Amino acid sequence: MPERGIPQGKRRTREQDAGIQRQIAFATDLFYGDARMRTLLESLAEGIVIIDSSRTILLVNAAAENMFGYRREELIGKPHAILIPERLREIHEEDQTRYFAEPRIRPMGALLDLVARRRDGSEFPVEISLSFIESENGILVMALVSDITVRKRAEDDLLAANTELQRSNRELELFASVTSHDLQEPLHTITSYTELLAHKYREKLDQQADAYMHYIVDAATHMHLMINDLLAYARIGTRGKPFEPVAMDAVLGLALNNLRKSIEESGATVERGELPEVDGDGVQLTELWQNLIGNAVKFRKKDMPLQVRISAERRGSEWVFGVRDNGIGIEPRFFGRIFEVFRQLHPREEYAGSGMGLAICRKIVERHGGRIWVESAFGEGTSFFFTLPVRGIDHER
Amino acid sequence: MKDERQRDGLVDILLVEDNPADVNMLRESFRESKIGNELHVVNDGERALDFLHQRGAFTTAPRPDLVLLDIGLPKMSGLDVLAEIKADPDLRRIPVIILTTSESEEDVFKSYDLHANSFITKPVHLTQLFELLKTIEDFWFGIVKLPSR
Repeated sequence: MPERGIPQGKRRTREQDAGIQRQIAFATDLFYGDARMRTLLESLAEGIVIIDSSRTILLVNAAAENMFGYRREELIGKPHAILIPERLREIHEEDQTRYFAEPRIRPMGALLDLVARRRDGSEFPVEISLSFIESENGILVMALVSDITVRKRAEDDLLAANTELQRSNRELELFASVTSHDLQEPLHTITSYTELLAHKYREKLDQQADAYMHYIVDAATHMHLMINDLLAYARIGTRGKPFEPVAMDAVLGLALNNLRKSIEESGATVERGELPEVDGDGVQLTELWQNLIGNAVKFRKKDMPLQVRISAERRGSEWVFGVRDNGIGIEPRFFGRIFEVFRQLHPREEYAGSGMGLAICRKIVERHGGRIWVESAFGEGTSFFFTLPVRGIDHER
Repeated sequence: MKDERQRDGLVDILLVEDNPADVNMLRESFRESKIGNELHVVNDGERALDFLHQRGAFTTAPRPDLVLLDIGLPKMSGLDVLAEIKADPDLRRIPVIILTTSESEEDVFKSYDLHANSFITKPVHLTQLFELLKTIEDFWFGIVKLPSR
């Protein structure tokens, strides 16, 4: 019996040696006898290791030499166990015995994570697929070995990043719920008691006191709005619903309905083009339209009736949606900044708001795989555009 | 029974609220109300249940006609209190109004799932609060027919 699985094991008998030499010659002839086949095997990126039922290495290719750090003459004729870390040899041996008892083709990925050992004792993760040849000299097993160090590291990194992302999402949710409850309460108290003060002591305080109290209430109310909008912004990513087919006509209708009062009050006319169906989160897309059209209403010219034009146009693999108005317009130098968090171009006394509207729009559009931008001639109106992927096309994200 | 409520002319309202500023504010507002009311206040969930079960320090407490319940309470959250009230065949008929700073949809869902009678976000402004309490009184003690005690 040949020694099984023990590298540099006890001496083989002369007879056994001769048997192994025959097997090596046989395998070499079988695989490398043909020049084209040899070229092919030598040029493979995967390592090839061929062993026989005595687990003796009969043949290796160039890639296997590089991978394991041996020259092939150091490997051929040796027990294949030298390629396996010592701590795993026993398990491996059992597996091998089972394999030789019932050989079959095992594809990549059908095996668990395996670890191989280099000449210097270092280890590296491998994926191995096995196939076998039944020859007149018994079964030969061919192992195709891939070094998956890079992939494994990428997988580990991805897994770690994913875990971290989940953790930070949980933290964000916690933060968000703390924000909505706990931060609002003191603000409530500030607002209501200042108002109570104004209510009960109106005659006893002077006009200046009224103004001060007005500032307090105003600031607290504004902060209340900012907290709510920041919360809404934070939750676009964490609370979004899974995408489903959304008729943009329908969600635009919802948005216009929500804005009905301010649209009527401003005397605006809204012209609607035909809109397609997209994949998305209906609630968020409604909010998107509502913010953009709400902006048009808010930043209208006081001396002329507001006109809003809504359109969609297909460009390649995406839809470009537009909301055009004839309002006060935006100076080009602010085009990028208006999408930032808490960004306002106008004093709050003139235009109320938290400065979150367009930041929320951008986050919604980006969650849907699109882009948003603005075009405007200052003083002549503003056009907001955003893209969304056309349904049913495989988009690279 | 309505008669009984009219006998002393007072309705009993149990306010479960831990923030003294809010308690005070609601007390002030209720004081201005037309309907005679007795506002009982407890500041945590366990006391609320003691009050309702008339046990501990509350053996002589009246059975309230209405409960105003905050969600963020120490020890036991308002939602836990709500769950216990609505699971008790004796207490579940008492209307419970969730009155909270929360505007979160999740809290709204949870409250109604636990059979809250309504969910109200505390208004920010004083005039809104006055209006709210007036509406509560008009509705729950004017329009609605409540079960007998």
